Amino acid sequence: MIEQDIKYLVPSNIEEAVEFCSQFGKSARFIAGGTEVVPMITHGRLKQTYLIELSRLEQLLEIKQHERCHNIGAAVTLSELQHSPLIKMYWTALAEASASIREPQVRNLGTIGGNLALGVPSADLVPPLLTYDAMIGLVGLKGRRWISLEEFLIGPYKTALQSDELVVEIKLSKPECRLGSAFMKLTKFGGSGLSIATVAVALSTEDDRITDARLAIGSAGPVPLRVAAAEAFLVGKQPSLEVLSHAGRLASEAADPRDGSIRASPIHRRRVLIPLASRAITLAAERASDQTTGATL
Amino acid sequence: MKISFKINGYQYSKEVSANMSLVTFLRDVLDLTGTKHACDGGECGACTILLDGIPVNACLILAPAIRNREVITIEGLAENGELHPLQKSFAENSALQCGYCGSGMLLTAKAFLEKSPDPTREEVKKALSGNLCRCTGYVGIVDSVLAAAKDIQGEVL
Repeated sequence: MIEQDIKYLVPSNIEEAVEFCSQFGKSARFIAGGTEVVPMITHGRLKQTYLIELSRLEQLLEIKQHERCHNIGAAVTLSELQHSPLIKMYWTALAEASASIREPQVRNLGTIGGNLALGVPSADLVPPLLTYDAMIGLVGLKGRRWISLEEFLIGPYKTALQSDELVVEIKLSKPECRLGSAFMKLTKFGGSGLSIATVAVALSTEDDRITDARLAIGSAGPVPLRVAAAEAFLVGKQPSLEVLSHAGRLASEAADPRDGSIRASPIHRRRVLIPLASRAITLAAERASDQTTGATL
Repeated sequence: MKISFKINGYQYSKEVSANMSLVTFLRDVLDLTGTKHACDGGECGACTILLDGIPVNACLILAPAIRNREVITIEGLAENGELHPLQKSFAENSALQCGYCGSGMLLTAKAFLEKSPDPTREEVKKALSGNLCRCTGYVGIVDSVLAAAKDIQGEVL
């Protein structure tokens, strides 16, 4: 263990967390689940002297149901998202993406806020949240502001967070027509490792025809992104084999994987996006049509 | 900082530092060496403990994070000198060879059986997917968890 003198700060609310952060500036960082930060300490790589604990702030721990939206607190864990009946029912791809991350013990610690705030290109929760047009609630010295997830993610490991800001909640607005959604991920050993590529799809259907399509890819470029070309192509179509493979190719063409990754070559990532997208579309379409024929929720 | 917490039913009040992960704190400060220290990255599950009943990696938690919470380590699994059904079952089925993964396996399995008292083989495997064993393989371990589940259910009935 490297000799460091780290100060652990326990704020009693969000405002105090922000105050600590502005008081200590660059020598402070937030800690929530700790799955990223604690190994940095253990390996002597933490640059900051102050840690500001977020994982026990009640305001960050709830999933709130409102009439038009669901708000997920930033310190809600991946396990909670994976098992929440509400998330599974309305935001299926988010529950699936949460379940796909790391080991069960790690999912009991890791948080949705942590998955977003670090701006990691392979953050698995991002593609589903992009398809749901998620809004990110940030709190800083100047108060609260909302920003779309698309604007929040600026580049690899770069977000729109100001130095005094933290992610406090994620807002998912209920769409006019219920969405069926699905998440597909390829990892190197078929296990819980880091993603080679991911696809999230959310669809509405009417009589088996797609009426609304959202498709996002992850781990396939500097930032996860929505694929407008594939979305426009899917609307009005039935998910036939030709439609699926063409949409898959459009998803693949939108990828911009980097060279020199130890996980996968660009060509492999582009290639696997085609079946991942096809499968995600198929599953999302099944789920969308189940909802229209089944009981309304 | 000075914090209060409970471990295996005992109340503690101790000075802790954020320089130290919980696994190091348990082993080096409290001398509870039943919790094993290996990967320091949450990959192997050897350091699994129960924090308010939930299995987590003690290498991914800082010591100050356990204030006012309850930790169960492997030392707290047997009660009044009586082995937990999982411990008996692991012994009967020779589930462990070197035993290094055992503490984590047992605690993960304990929390799992409390939630899923009558699991399938597949469910057990999934529940234990965050715990690596490098010697016996997993057959005996999974068998033991299934046998313990039956044993515990028998007791309840």
